[in-house]
Amino acid sequence: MERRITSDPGESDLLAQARGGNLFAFEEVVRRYQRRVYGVAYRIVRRHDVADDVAQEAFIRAHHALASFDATRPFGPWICRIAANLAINHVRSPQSREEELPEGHAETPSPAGGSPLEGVLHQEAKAVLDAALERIPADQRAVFVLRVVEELSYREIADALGISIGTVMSRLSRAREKLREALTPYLGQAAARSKVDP
Amino acid sequence: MSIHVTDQLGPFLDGELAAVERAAVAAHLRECEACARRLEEMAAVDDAARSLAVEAPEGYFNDFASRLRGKLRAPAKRRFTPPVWALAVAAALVLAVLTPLTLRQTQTAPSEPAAPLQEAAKPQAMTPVTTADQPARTEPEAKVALKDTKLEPALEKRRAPKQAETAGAFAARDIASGRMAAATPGPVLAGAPEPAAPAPLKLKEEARRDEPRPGARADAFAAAPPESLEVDAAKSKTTAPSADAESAPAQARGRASAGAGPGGLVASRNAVPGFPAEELRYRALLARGASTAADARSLREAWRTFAQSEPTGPRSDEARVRVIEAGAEAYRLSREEEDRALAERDAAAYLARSDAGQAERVRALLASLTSG
Repeated sequence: MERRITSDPGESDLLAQARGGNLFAFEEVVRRYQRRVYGVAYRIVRRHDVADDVAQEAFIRAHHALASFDATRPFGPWICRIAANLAINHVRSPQSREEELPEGHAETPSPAGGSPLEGVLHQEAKAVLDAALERIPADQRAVFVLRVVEELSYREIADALGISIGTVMSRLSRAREKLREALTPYLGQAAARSKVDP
Repeated sequence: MSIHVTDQLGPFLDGELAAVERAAVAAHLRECEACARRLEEMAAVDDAARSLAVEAPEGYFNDFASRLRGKLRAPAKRRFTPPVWALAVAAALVLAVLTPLTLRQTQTAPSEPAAPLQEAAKPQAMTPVTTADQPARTEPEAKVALKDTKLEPALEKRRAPKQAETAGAFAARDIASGRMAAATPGPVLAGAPEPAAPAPLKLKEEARRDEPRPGARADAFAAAPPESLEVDAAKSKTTAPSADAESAPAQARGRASAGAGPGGLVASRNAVPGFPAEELRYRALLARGASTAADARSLREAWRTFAQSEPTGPRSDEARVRVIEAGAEAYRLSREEEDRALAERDAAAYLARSDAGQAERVRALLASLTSG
């Protein structure tokens, strides 16, 4: 960690300093969350260049709105919600073109896994899941990403996207069902290897 | 066996069910293999989606924050409406104080006819000021109104190109160019974004209300380039206080413009009320770019001067880094070993400091020098 502000400032300290106009402090916050914010944006817009724009805009807006941010709450979900909203707005915009991914920017499995599906999630299954994620409507994809990847609560997602909890549940259910259907050939193998403990 | 609980499997998986509902679903799952399998598959899909990490292009995150830094400063022109008001009011106050004083001096001068001066001033005050949609009174008209008075020399001055008018206008222009964005504290960052246009419009309203003379082209000087301030400062310094009715705003301009530094902004502490000259200099330097090696060297030395003039504080740390950054840019543009060696020396000196707050950034700059 760089010695920019204090020896090891906590997030709340950094945010307080950023709120006071310290750009270095805000940059440190950006470094802490840039991957996560970019990830949220990318998973929704599915293009690096757009995700880059969305991630930057999310931080800019967060910076402008720091004064209204409740410092007692975690920054991560807040900035992720901003990014998700921007990403959804982009996908909804007329100029949005959810084109095929540029080469070299495709998603790759993380080194650490643990998923029941991991053993059988070979290249074909990855491609199927990736394509299925891209096919589902952006509204559903956003809810799915915020819930499954960012682990926001239904209430948080509803607040973030300005929809009801019922809509969150229906969109999430549809997204899961479409992904489950797409992965059915592989899920049988996964289910045979792993049992979910309810 | 109870009825299937398909609709509740998602909320169950997400921990969004109340305790009673959760217990009911759990009981059902113990009995219903179909629902248990479906839940299993849903969990597997979730896990699979989570396991797909997003991979950005190599090196993308290395400079993400630094790229963002420029954008955090750039759009500030939309967020400074209150300060523009304050500065415009300050400028009006300066005019309100200095103009009567100057007129009094003019009137009491033994060789100058007071009455014509007053007569000349009256029609001016009643003449509509220029707005964006309405051109200023033409010069011949102005000449008629001012003929045979001591105001004529001032009118000649006003014809000079690229003329700035007031300290308030200067501040508005500076703000509009985004130079005041960087380190302005809380309220600025908290301000809701607003369109860029209102600031100069408000300034014009202030000028219309408070300035007693015609043709006050707030719209024109709001967009004037920095060098115009320096030109105007030089002119106003040579203007005797009692010379004409425009000397008061000229004095105000002189105060606003005196001591223009390398970035074209003021070094005088009286430049803009509430904004120390160092802050303005700092922001001016932040706004400067370099398209040639000479520009980059000039910027490097300007940052060095700034860092030496302000040896402590966050601005000085940033200034020291900017010395290295501009030096690296000079080397990139020139490929001259001298530039590189100087940048490396600056970087080494910075890293040796106990208060080096941006060592990582400097090391990255250093690496860029060696990697070519």
